[in-house]
Amino acid sequence: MIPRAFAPARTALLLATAAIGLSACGGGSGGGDSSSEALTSFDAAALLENTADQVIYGIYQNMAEQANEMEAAVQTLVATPTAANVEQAREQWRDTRKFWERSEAFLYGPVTSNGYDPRIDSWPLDVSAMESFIAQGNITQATIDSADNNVRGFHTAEYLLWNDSNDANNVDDPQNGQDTAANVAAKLASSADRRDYLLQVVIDIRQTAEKLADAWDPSKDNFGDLLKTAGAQGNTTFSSQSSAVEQVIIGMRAIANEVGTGKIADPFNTGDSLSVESKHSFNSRADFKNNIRGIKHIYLGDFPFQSDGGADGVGVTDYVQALGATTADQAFKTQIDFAIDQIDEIDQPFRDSINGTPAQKQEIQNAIDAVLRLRDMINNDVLPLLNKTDFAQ
Amino acid sequence: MSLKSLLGLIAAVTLVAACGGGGGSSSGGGAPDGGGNGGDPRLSGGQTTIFNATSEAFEQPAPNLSAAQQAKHAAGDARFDVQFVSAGNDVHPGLGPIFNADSCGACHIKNGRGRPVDDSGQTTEQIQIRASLPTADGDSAPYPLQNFGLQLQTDATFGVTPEVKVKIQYQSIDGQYSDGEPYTLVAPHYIFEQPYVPLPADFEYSPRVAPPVFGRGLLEAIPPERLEQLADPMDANGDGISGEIQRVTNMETGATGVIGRFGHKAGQPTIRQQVASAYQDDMGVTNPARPEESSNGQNQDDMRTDDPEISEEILEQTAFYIATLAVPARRDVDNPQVRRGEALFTTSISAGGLGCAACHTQTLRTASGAPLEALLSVSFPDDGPNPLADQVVHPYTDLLLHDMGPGLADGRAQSKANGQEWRTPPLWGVGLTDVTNGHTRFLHDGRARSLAEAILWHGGEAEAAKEAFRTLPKADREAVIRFLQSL
Repeated sequence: MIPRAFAPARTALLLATAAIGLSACGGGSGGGDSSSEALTSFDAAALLENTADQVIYGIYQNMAEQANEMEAAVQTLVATPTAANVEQAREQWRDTRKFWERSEAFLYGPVTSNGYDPRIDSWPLDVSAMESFIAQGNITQATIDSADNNVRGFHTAEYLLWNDSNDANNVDDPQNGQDTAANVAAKLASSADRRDYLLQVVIDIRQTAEKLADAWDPSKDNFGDLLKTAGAQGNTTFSSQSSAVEQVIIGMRAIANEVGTGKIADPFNTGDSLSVESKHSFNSRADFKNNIRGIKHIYLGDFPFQSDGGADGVGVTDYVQALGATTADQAFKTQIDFAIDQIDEIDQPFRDSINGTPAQKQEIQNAIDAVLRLRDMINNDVLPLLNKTDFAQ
Repeated sequence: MSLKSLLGLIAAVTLVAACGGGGGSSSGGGAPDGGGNGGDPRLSGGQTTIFNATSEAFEQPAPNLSAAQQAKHAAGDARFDVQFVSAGNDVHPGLGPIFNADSCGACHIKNGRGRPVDDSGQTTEQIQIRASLPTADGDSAPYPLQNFGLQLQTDATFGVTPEVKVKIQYQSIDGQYSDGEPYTLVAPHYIFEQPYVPLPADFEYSPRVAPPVFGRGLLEAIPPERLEQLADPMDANGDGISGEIQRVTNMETGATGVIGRFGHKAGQPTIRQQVASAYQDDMGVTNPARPEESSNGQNQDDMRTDDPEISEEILEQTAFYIATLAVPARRDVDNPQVRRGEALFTTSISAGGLGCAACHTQTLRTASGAPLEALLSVSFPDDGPNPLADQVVHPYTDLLLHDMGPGLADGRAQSKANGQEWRTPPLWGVGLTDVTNGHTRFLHDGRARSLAEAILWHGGEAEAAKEAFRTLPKADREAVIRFLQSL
C-alpha cells in the first residue's frame, strides 16, 4: 500500500500541476474543447485488454501463487523451526512481496475499494499490540480476520521472520545489524503462540492475494472488463477509452510520485530510520525497484517481461508511438531502466544509508532525482497525448 | 525550487485562467454569483478545478496553489494518510483507546464517499454512528450518552473493548414509476451488539457515511450574506422550500451561533473543527483543538498524560490539505442527454422541471480579501494569491438545512436541525463515485444503491421534486441520471 509512515504525497508536485493545467483547456478527462491541432485516431481496445488480462491479472496471479508457496514454507517452518526453514520462508516472503510491489503501479479498483491494500500492507505496525496478541495466545484465523490491519499483513510477517532489527537485544550480527535466522528460529521454537501467529498471518496474506487475483480473473469477478469495455453504454466507471487509458497512466504516475516524494524521500529527509518500511528485512530497496518495474510492466504491456521470455504485449508504449512521440517513448523506456539502476546504487541497508556518508546520501538523492524525472516525463510527455487523441470509444 | 519548475507553475495557472472559468471575470445576469453557470460549466471549482476522471480524481491539489501553498498541501497529504497505532509505539502513536478508524484515509478512501456495510452486514469503518440522549428540537446541542459520548466507537486498541458493534439489515420497499416500471428501495435497520456497558434504552442515533472531502475550502469561503440570502426558514416565497442556516458553537473560541457548514447536519462550522473532531472522535487522536480523549470521563479512559497526541502543525497541515484539494471537472457537458437532464434538474416544477436546484444551488461565489480571511480556518502562505478567493463554483448545494421527510429522518436533533432535517449535500464529483470508490451508495447513510434511488428517497420539502422525477418518462429519468453522472 501507499506506506503511511512516510509522506505518501499522492500530490503531484509542480510539474504535475503544469501538465494538469495544460489538460484543463481540453481533452484529458472529458475535456471537450475543440483544438486547432489535428487529432490522431487510436483504438485502445487491445491496450486495455492486454493491460487488464495479461499484465494486471498476471501480476496478481503470480502474487497469489507465490503467497501459496510462502504459506507452504511457513507451514514447514512452524512444524520445524530451524534456521534453514527461516531462510526459506524469508525467501518466499520476498518472492511474494516482489509482485505486490509491482502491483502498486495499478492501485485502483478492488485493491482499494475492497480494502485489500491496507489489509495486506499496513505500515507502521502496532508492535506492542502484536506482542500482546502473542502473549494472549489462542490465535486462530478468526483472530486475524477480526484484527486491525496494523497487526496483520506483509510487515507483520516480516517482523516475525526477521525480528525487530532496531532492537539491540535481538541483534546478533554486528556486520549488518540484522537478527540471524537462528535467533528467529529459536524465538519461534520457544513459543507456539508466536508460530500460530506467523502462520495465521501468512494464511491471511495468501487469502487476500487470491481475492485480488479473482477480482481481475476474466473468468471470475473480471474487474478488468470495466477497462476493456470503456466507453460502452452503461459503463459508468470508464465512460470513454480516454478515461480508461488515463487511469492506466495515472496509476504509473502515482507510484512514481510516491517512490520519489514519499517512500525514499521522507525517511531520507527526516533521517528517521524507525519509519522506514521493510526495515527489518532490509527489503526497502527491492520494494522501490519493484515499484518501478511495475511501471515498466504497464508501460511495455509485458508480463513477464519480453526479455524474460514473455510475449510482446500491447502497452502504453504502443499508444505513445502511435501518437508519433517516438523520441519521448524511447526516452521514457531508457529512464525506467536508469531509475532502477540508480535505486540499485543505494547502499544497503537503506535504513542506515539515509544517515550514512555524504556519498551514500548522494546515491539516495540520485535515485530520487531519477524517479521524479520519470514522473515528470509521464506528466509532460505521456499524459498530454490524451488531448491529441481521437479514441475509438 | 528550480526556475524551470517555477515557470511551469506560472504556465499552469495562466493556462487555467485562460480557459475562462472561475475567477472574477465571470459576470452577468445580476445574480450574486455571477449568474447561471457563469464561465465554463466544466470548471466546478473555478480555478481550483482539475481535469482528472480517474480513481485519483479527488486526491489532486488545486492547480492554482503557489509553490509554498503546494508544499503545505503536500505535507498535509502525508498527514492525511498517516496510519496511527496505539500509544507507546515508536511510529505514529496515539490511536485510541477507542476509535472508528486508524487514519483519515481509512474512512475517506481515495478522499471519496464511504460505503456503509461489508458483505457480512457489519458496518465498515467508513460510517460513523452519532449517538445522544433525547433533546428537544431547537437550539440545544445533543446531550452525550454516559460512557459512550456522542459517537459510538466500534474499534479499540488491544486490551480495550469496542464500545459496540453494529450491523445493518435492509428491508425492501417496492415502488413503481408512473409508467409502470418497478423499483425497489432498501431501508436500513441498525442492530447494536456487544455493547461494553448497556446502552440506554432511549438513546437516539444518526448514521453518517464518510463524505468526499474535496472542495471544502471553497464552501468555507462562501460569504455568510449569500447563505442568508438563500435561506428562507419560514418559506416566505411560498415555494415549499424552507432552507435554514445551521447555527453551532465554535469549540475553540466558544463563539455560539456560528454558521454550520460541514457534516450531514452542518454540525461543524469550520474545516479546522471538522478535522480536529475527526482526529479526536474517529481516531482517538487528541490534538490542540480537541485535547481530550473521546473516552475522557468514561470507563475506558486511557488515563495517559500524553495529550495532545499530535501537534498544532499537523492539525493545521491536515486541515490545509482538505481546504486546498482540487474539484474535479464535469464531463460531457455538451452531450444532448446531459443537457436535457440538466434542464430538468434546474427548471422549477411549475415550469415542467424537477426543481432540484431550489436546494442544490448550482453556482456560488467565494469571498475575497478581508472577508475571505475572516472566514478561513487555515492560514495560507502568502507567496501567491489565495487560491480560494473570488471563485465562481458549482457545488450544487445551498449549505442549508431542509426537511427531507420521515423516510430519511434519523429522529435526532442537532442544534438547529431537527430529526428530519439534513444539510443539502454538494453534488460535485458525484458522478465519479464508481471510479474513485468502486460503489454507488448515496445519501447520509449510504442506503441508496444508485443515483435514482437517492432521488426516490427524497421527501419533505423535496417530495414534489421526487414525485416529479417518478412521473417523468423513462428517457427523461435517464437524462437526469446522465446529468448527475456528468458532475
